[in-house]
Amino acid sequence: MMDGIHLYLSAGVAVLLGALVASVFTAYFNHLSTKNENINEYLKDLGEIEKLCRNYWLFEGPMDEGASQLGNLGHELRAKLDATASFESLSKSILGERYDQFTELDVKLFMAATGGTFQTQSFLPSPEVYGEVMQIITEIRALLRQQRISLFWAR
Amino acid sequence: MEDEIMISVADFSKYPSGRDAQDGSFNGEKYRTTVLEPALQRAISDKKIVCVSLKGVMSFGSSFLEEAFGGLVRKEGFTKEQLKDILRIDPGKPNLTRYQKTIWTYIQNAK
Repeated sequence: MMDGIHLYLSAGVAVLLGALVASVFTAYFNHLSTKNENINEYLKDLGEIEKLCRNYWLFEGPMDEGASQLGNLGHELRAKLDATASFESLSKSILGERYDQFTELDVKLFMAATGGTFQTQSFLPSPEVYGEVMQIITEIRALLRQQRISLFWAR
Repeated sequence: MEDEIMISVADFSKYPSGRDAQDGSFNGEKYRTTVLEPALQRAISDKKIVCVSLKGVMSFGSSFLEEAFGGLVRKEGFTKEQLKDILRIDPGKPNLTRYQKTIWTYIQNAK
């Protein structure tokens, strides 16, 4: 009789422990998945910034006739860059020891993409600025991929 | 704080843009000459510091920030060391720290 009770209690404790361990792992992997989703969303935004920078800094239309189109591109680029600033505020917990390197690149990207003659009357298309922006974006992508590998031990 | 002269970029414009008058009404040169420089001169004479709040601004362009803050060194004759002592940039929100860092980078890079 007593053996039966002990067996029943042991099984109950094992089930409870199993459920506890499973919930801890689920919470942990959910946490990692959220971080991964944030990185993915940022990478998607980075792709849009890349496209907007290409359209703005390599603008091909006549400057007078195209002024309105150029103006809109400038506003779009600025708005997209602003949107990514919210990732910067989240990124400390996501990027860990790579955070300082990321913020340095984030500032560089903002300065390159919206610096110089950006949104000024003296604006001229600049392959040099576009090239600089692409280089920074490539560095940010590499950094985020490294971080994803560190988080998940996989690409 | 009593020792601080508080100014807010949002009081000037929530969407500041461009370098000079050609680029619009809320440009960096105008902000520097009508708001920043007078506040800094007052801070020097009253032995205070100027705190610039970025809160409430919808977005910045680098060209505005470079002209307004880098221009303090390039055109108004302030030294970088002097600005470190009398100027404080308050991002107001965590997602505005990018602009705080950009401002100090422009001050540091100004020649």
